[in-house]
Amino acid sequence: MKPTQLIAIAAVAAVSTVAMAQTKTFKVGEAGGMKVSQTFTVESKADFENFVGQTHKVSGSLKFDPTAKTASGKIVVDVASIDTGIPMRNEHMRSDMWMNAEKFPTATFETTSVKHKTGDTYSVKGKLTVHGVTREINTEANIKYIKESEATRKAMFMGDVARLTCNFKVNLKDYGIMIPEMAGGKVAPIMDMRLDVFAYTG
Amino acid sequence: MRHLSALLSLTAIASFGVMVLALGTMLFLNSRGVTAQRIKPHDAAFAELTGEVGTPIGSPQKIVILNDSAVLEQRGPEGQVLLDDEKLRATGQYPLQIKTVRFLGGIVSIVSLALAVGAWFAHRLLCRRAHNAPPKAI
Repeated sequence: MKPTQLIAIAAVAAVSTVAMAQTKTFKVGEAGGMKVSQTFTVESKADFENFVGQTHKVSGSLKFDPTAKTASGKIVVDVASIDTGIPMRNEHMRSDMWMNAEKFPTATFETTSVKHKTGDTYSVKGKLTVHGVTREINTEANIKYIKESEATRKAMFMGDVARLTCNFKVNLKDYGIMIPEMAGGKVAPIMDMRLDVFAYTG
Repeated sequence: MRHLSALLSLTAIASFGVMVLALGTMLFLNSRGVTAQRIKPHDAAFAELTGEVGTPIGSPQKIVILNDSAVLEQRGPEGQVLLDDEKLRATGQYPLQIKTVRFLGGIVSIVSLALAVGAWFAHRLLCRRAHNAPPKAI
């Protein structure tokens, strides 16, 4: 093979590689006129009853390459807006006896490592900060990429869409949140958290 | 002593009745329970994009549906009833959980059974003492 031909092949290969590795930045959170498309829930499964707190005030960003299957990101949840369905319970939860929302208004998760497992499933390590305490956690997340189309535009998304879902457990004690004795049996010491967001490139 | 014995006997019977009522209520409500999943429904465009009826809120659990205004036509992937979470909140509904029924029913049953047994034994003890007591001198 002639040297010029080799150079040409190498150049095409290089350009192809650059074109394939395309990390996109996806935004999480409301963006002027678009509908709410992010939900964070925290579920307590105690002896007496189960209850769920939920909020749609979730923001952040996700860097995702749908071809190389690499990702990183940061999610911020507004703790004070979590609604359990009962105003008095919301008040207790926001108080300094529990989440102390005035002092710690947000909970954040920032990835430190994301590895593709299979399909849309990824193994995720990251730093979770709740109630002013930061701990490293391991979990799994599902990232489904949806290229911009008539369907995404009809659903009022701008650009490409990445749906991120993630479930993990939080032991309240690990984050300095102690359950008062009177709430024993009504609040579980370990809470089930679920994040379900539609991020978009905009 | 006779009055106390009668009171204990009545307490035992009433407590036993409460236990039967608690157990009966628990069994009745348990039979009415259905597995339900609360969801935040998607609009048509969102549902078409995701292929889903809505975003799950919490995990499925067994509840008693007293007001079916929030029940959706569609069913979950495992046949569970789907409840419109936004409608539940807007109408102030807080569905009765079978877990709560069992918890309270269990406590009431155990306490009333203990009271019934305790009161009955105390009543029997008093009766025996009255029977064994020496006759009053004339």
